[in-house]
Amino acid sequence: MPTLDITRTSIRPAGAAVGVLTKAEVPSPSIAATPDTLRVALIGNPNTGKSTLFNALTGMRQRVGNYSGVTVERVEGRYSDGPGQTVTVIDLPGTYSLSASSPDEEIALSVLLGLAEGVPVPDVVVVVVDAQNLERNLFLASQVLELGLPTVVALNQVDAAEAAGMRIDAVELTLQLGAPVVPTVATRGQGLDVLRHAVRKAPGLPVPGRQFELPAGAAAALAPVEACLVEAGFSPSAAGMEALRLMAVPRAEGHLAGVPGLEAEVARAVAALEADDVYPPALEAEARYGWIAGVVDAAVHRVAEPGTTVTDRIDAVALHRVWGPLIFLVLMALVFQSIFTWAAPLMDTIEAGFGMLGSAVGALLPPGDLRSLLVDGVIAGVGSVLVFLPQIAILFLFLGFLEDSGYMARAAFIMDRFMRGVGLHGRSFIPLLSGYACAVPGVLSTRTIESRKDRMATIMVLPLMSCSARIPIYTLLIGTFIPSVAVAGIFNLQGLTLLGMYLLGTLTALGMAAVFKTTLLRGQVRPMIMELPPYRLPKPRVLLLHVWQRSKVFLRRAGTVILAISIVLWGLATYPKTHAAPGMSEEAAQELQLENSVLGTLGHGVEPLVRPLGYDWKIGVSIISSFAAREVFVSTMGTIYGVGSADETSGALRDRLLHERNPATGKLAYTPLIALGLLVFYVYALMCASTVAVVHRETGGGREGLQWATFQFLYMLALAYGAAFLVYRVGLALGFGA
Amino acid sequence: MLRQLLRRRTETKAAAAPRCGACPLAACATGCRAAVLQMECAGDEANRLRNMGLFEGACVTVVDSRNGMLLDVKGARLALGAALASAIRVLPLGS
Repeated sequence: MPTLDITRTSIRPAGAAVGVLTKAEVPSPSIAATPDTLRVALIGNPNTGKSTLFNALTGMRQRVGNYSGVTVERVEGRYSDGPGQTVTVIDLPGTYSLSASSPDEEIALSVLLGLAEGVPVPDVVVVVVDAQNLERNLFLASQVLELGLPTVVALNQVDAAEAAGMRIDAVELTLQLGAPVVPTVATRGQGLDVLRHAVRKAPGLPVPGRQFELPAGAAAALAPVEACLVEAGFSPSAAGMEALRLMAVPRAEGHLAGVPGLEAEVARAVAALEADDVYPPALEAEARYGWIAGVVDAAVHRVAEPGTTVTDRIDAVALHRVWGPLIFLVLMALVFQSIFTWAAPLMDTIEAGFGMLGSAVGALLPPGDLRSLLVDGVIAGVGSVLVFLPQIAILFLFLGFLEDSGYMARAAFIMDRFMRGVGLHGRSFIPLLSGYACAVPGVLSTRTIESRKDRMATIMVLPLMSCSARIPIYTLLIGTFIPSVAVAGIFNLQGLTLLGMYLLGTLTALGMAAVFKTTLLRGQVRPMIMELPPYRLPKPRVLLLHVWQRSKVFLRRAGTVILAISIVLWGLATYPKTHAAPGMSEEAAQELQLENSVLGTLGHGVEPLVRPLGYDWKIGVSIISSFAAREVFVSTMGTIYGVGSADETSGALRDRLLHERNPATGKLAYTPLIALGLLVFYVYALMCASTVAVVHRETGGGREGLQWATFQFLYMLALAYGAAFLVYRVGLALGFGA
Repeated sequence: MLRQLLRRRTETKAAAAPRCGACPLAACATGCRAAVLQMECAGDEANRLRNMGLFEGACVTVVDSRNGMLLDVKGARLALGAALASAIRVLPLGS
């Protein structure tokens, strides 16, 4: 069993608590090397405010990576606890129990058991418990207590519990659990000092363990299983937890696979329990919840009886069979509308700022290639993408608000009915919805889907959800070519077109999911189980932090990938130089230069491919250059029209597009129909290197992942080309070509 | 008492004639309290539900039965799909 042969980092005094894995309890060389580092793991149910507590503890000093071998996000942070004392905190995925039924939950257990590669056993475990929902939350806490690690219980959201008429006696709870309980309000930073203090002290306290006794018959039946686990290196306390858990799980998880004779012992124990008239699968729940009922009786004083809560009253409408989906749809329409209306002034400011910057740089430098590189290449290219930052920030603000307010879980529940219609689980809905922001976190969040086939189908269709990188393209084209007229009094045609693009992507994603689930990935859908957290008013600070973190990713991309591509494209559009014939207008000379440049030659090469869609070579080049990232389409157009513009400041791209004429025919080069076709093309095309990379990894990596990722890229490209062709040709036939 | 009674239900007993008054959870009306008797869903789901507080012998309250099932389980709101709610047999205890 090589997996159990791990090295532990521990600062526990010699002779203190025996950890989970006694075999590895040899003095580790790292004890002396890092006496001032304490490793803390944060675990808790979903919706307990665990991540907020993590943020409050560690501030901005955090790092997001992956566990080796699996793609579960690994979030680590640190804080300083007095001079020379560093505490590293690892935020484990939210889980209801230590019985793993998804990759997320399996990670939580293996970190606590010290089986996760590269992650030493934590010195202290902090169990985050939602005070409002104490009874259910204590189930996981009682399992963790039995692991035999120093444990601190953070009783979070005590303010909300008190508001609901619950007074929780933390001292009594400490006595009942055998581990320090610290009341906290993570959103307001309350109780953090006490929590840090308790974490510092925890390694010196007696280790917690099981606080209840099983009925004698059950204890006797489980004893051989425990012995078997102890033999394999588990501490007696952890072996007890595992043995009890194994009575309920249909099969032992990966970390128990190597324990010799375990399966036979479990089968014998199950038979012994049944002979004793005990129903084995319910034994653990019954034992733990039975004990918890007593703990809650002793430690919780109800000042007011729970009546109908605000949450129930909202849910009566929000989960209504008819009103629920309608409310959801109206909410989405408002989101997309505000992306346009709220962002407009900010976008104008940024656009004007880049215009001024371009003029300023243009005035400082002498005419020549350097000035052209900075003004037409860098400023026009990067500026044309950065303009969309306000819209992306607003989208993330809304998604963050829906998530933090608790509405997202309702949306998943409401959508379950519809998702089932296409063979997906309601749980697939949240990854699909995060796909509106970015496909990469969306694909990562499919980890919560237990069935592999459902998960694969969700990943395959997820990039069809319009992500924030499409916003620059959508808004450039819609803002330029779709008239801003009112529809039905309150809506705007531009907003509705944007909503239409999102709907088109969403409906296609659902349709394709149905196709996949009936062909390649045929299989049963798992039933819906979803906790609906109470509604909360999200904290502005938390929301803004979220928006900032996401915007940073966008800014970093603009500063690296898009900057680099802009410079390369500028070079391709500038060289080789063509000298204008005498008497030629400046405009025509610029046009000629562009036509004869490397970019122009390339563009004319791909023109036959895009001509059937109604595009000219400039769009062709922009599409080619956007294979790495969609928003590059806009920066390429920015660079092309920057280089091709007669005036030095390269006026706003929108005006240029609107008035661009085909030099041969003199007609407008871009019509609303062409714009619509292009919009549809970008709804479908998977042009994002990051997504392809993450899909490759998440679908199994290696050869298998490559096959899935290639398949996905090709089917989406075919869809994009076919749909854009159809829009253009049908539009022409109907006479919308002008 | 009820717990004892329920614990003494084994596979063979469950296969016998249905209990008097027992019905699927899906048949319970809004506001109804019910004791869980048996879970006929797949093992993974049953285990997940047990960990969340919905296990044989536990009491749940139906908060909303119009669209799937919204339950009060140990103070938390748990939403179950209609198919799953039909696979859980309960003993209604009145509202």
